[in-house]
Amino acid sequence: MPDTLKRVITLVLLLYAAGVCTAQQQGAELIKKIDSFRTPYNEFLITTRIRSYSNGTLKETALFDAYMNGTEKSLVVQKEGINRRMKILYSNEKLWVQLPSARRPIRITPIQRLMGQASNGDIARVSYGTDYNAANAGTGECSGINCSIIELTARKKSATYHRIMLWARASDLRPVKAEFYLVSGRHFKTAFFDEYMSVGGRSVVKKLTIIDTVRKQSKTTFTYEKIEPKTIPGKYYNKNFLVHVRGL
Amino acid sequence: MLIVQAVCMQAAVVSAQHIKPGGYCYVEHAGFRQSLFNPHDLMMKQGGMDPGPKYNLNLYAEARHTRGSVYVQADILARIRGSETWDTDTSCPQFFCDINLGSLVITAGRVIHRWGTGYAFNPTDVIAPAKDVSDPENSMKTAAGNDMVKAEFFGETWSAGVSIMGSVRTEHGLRVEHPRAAFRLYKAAGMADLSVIALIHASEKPLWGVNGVTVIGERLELHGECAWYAGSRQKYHRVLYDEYRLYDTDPFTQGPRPASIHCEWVAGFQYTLSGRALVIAEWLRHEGMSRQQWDRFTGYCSWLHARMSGPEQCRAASNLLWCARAYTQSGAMRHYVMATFQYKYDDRLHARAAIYVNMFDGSYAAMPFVSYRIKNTLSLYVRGFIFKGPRNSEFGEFFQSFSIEGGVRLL
Repeated sequence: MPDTLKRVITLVLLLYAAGVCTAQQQGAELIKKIDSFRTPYNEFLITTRIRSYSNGTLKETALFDAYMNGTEKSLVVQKEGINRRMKILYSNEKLWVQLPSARRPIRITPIQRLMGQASNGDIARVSYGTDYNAANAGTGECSGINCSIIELTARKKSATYHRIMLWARASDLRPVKAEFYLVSGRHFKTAFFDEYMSVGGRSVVKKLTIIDTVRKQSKTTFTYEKIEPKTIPGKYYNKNFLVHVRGL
Repeated sequence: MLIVQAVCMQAAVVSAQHIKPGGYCYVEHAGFRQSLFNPHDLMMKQGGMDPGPKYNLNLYAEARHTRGSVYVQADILARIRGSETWDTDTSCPQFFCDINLGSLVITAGRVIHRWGTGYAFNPTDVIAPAKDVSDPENSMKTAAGNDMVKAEFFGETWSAGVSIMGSVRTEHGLRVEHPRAAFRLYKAAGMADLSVIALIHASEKPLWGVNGVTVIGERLELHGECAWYAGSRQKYHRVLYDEYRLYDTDPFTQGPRPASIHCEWVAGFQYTLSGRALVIAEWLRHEGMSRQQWDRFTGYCSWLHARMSGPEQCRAASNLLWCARAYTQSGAMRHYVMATFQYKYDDRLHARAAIYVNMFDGSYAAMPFVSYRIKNTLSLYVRGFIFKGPRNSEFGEFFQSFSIEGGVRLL
């Protein structure tokens, strides 16, 4: 092979690698900005009320306290509702549920239904950064807002959804709408980030509405009632300790 | 001891910070058939079985109290059951105290504590009571715990526990019960959770077990358990090793103990369909009768039939009633497959269909269940049991062909 050709191929490969690195960096920055609207602190407590509606009628409501520890651990305790005292643990890509009547946590899959249109993964995980790669997918308008469209692709098998198409306000990447897709390519559900509030001087999601793509008359809302810094002991994130978790 | 326990229980209930009452009442009706284990309606005439309708009221209360690092829980279950006559009983399925000393938790008392990963079967769950295959999640609150003292140390991704037990509740008393000490080491390793378990008996060779669970992708959960030990831990009917004859005392006994290693295991999965439906399936291999032993056992039951019209009919009948004890929760034979389909139509209507198949003879028990939540924690439910199979098969010869119950439940 002539030396010139070798140089050209090397140059092309270097440019390609540089392009990939730049795209990855841009993706990481995008996702960091998006996550900043959902995770105001590293360790915090987020109190969430979930309401499930069918044909506009409230069918069920429940209150959850979610203790977040970085992006890899969370413990959700149901405070009100039929399954009061139920606990959901997310730890290092694994999801467990401890039903109030049981003495053993059960390993579950992220899309298993929690309530209404909400999956367990929707409440136990609020950060996209650890599970998804982001890439710009153009621009568009959503709810009358100029948006950047960002495609989030799962990079971990434990991610709740295989792909997310996210519409974020072009000016500051504040999420407006998200479409969730399964591995099969099926459009599973759509979420609208309806309201924002100020927490510690930062704008954070206050209300999220999830609409089922099949049962369009059904919707589920997440209202984040309280977000505050909070740290709980590390043993609380051990699934065997769940039966002993009390007083949270 | 009983008085002390009763006083402590009463104190726990009286001083409880939280009392969660619940209960359910239901009517049940059973369909009996003439079978190997129920000739001439033997089960109804002498076995105390009644086709019904029978009326049941189960009431339970869970009292909990926390003071500092000490937590006390007392569960009380009261049952009233009747048709022509009424029976009542009260029991204490759980009564225990947890002392939380930082990373160390000490538990003492009667408690249901589970170490296994299987849904309906747990060969490595050496400290827990056997599960009811028709209600593995114990939603009907019928399971009672074992008396133990347990200490467990928790790290963030691992834990190590030891449990000392005086006696263990077993299936129809067909499992050997000895004072025992059990150890478990758990570690979250990558995407899997693994446990190693050892059970030490005062007079038995140890049992070793491993169990694990993992999730692949967004829908599939895989789990498995394996326990192995030298010799047998099961009690069998003596006729498996003896000539056909009539017995005057309980003929179930621990059989000859071969030196070979015995292995019990379960392998299964859960698959989530569209977030509302769930499929769970498990293959179980446990200690029970081989096909040849079952044939010999049913041959013995036929031999008893022939004697039920002769001068020894009373002894033959009572021997046949003993034989019916072979029907345990997890089955009389060795290989079974359990499959469950659960569907939540909405937040009110839930349905479940389970089938439990004996892989030796193809007989099965089908268990449909439907519940509808009327308001808050009040729901209506219907559940049934259907037993089918060819002649001389396990579920084909079961003394009931079906049973159905319907009731109201307050969670």
